[in-house]
Amino acid sequence: MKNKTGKIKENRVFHAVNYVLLVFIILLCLLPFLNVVSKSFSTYGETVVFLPVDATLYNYQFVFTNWPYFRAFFISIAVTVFGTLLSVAVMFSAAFALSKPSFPCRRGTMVFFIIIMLFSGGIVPNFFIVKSLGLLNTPFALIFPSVVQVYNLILLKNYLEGVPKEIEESAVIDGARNWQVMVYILLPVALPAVASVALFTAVNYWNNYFSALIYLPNADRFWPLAMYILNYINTSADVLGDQTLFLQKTYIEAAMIVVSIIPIVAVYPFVAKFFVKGVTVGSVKG
Amino acid sequence: MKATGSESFKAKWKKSKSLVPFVVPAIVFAVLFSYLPMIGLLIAFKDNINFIRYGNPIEAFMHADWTFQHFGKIFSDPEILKYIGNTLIISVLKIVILFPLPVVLAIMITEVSNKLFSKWTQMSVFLPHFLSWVVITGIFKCVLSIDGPVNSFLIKLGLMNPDNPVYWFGTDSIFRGLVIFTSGWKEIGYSSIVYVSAIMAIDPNLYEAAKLDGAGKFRQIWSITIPSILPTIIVMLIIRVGYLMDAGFDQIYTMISSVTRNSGEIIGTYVYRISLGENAGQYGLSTAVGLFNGVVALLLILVTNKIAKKTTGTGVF
Repeated sequence: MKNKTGKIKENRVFHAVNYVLLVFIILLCLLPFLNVVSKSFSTYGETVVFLPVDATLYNYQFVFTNWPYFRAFFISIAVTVFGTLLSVAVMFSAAFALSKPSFPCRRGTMVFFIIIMLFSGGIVPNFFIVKSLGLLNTPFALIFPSVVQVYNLILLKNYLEGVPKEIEESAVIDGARNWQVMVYILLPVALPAVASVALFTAVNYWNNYFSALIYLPNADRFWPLAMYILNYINTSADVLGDQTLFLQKTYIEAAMIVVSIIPIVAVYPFVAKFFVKGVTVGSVKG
Repeated sequence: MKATGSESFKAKWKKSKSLVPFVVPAIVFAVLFSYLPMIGLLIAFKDNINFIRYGNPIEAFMHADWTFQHFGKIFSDPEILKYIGNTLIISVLKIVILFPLPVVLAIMITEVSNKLFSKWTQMSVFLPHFLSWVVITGIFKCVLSIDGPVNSFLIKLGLMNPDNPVYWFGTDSIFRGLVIFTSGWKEIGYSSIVYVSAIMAIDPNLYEAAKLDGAGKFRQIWSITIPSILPTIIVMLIIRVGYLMDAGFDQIYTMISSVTRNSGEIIGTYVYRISLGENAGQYGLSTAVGLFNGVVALLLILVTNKIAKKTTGTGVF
């Protein structure tokens, strides 16, 4: 009897401690965001903690009237939209063909793609190939090199292999062509997998600064947002010349960061379940 | 044997050649942006390629002499050896300190009975994963600035001298700690998803039986939860070790400066710096170091994947 009440007490303490620790973890995740948001509404002066100091819209005014920032924002949107459409279309099409057991040299083709996942030429060879192809300092260099995503290919192929044959059979008997089967029958069926893959791809394009760093050495007019912000943060304040800007610089950075996160935070609640699904669908499959 | 193989290929080709065009775009992109650069690795065996004198990279490549000296340098240059060391130290620290935490977090999340609270927890801890390292580093540069909230808090607690505040991003001895902490902050939540779904798959009857036997929470976690998800943990650990040579370029490049190079420069950032970055131009050496890194990484991944398949029956490929 004593033992049993002991256990109940242990469980109660366990749950209480668990909740307290989780609240602490949530705060640890969210408070840095709150600090940056507050700072983005603040004027130079006292330390900003959780509330704005001398609340102002100056930083946002600066960001929204700053043409290079806007340009970078639109380039990021364009690169993300076109890159995601292209990458997912190319990967889905390849996954469609490779999911058919009758595909000629299927294993060899898969090995051809998996090698890419394991080994790459590295920075210098990539740079010179992109240069030789005439893509250096063009926005295409932000899109084309990352079109092939082997992990996504495997995920989509596994998903399509799990689709029952009967679903497409009647269409094939009716004389549908391959592309019609792919677009009108398999795409709707595979939509959950396609959505997950598209979201992963979109996040990668939106967050990527590496391609701009390597492939756009003399074309800051094509910089995406991540590269623009990185460069702005790393530019020392005295280069900006202006005294107000000098003091206000880190506050403007905060506003830039907040504006750049908005697209992700805005869609996040609606798409979070696809992210989770993507991990569980694709994780550790033989 | 060979004849039947080619026959079946022929048969397959006849039956399914109409499928081939669907793979062609992917193959074209793969050849252009992945396989051609692999040929470009030959740069590692060339001495001082003069890309400025010859406008065409291929012509410049042809005119340079063959050499093996870059590979000799990898094992003799103390600077390069130090950066290889940094890569391994940061990577090992990340594994030792950060790898167990998503397991702990997953157990904590699945022990929450309130659905709404559980959902909120998961949404909050996954979020940082979806942000760029540029943004994460920006956020921490804000929170950890000299006159930022963390420093002012530490001063208020009397843990820091107000006349001598800590430059979190500008102190070499702190840098690795900062790399580990921010990496954990960004990824622990998201890495826990795999374990959360593994725990959800455990048969609830096991817990009921344990409860009847009088097992408390800790006993249940230790004797049921952990053993049940152990295969997942092992696979994830083996995969993680396979990526040992990658200490995180995207992260460290946004955080590093000349002051923190001594403890923070890794192979990736060094390879960039001496080829296209601040000290640009040493294409041969940079490619050689990158190639060395890539080969070691490839061997590690192949070996660890094999071990994963042998021990648990699952691997990545």
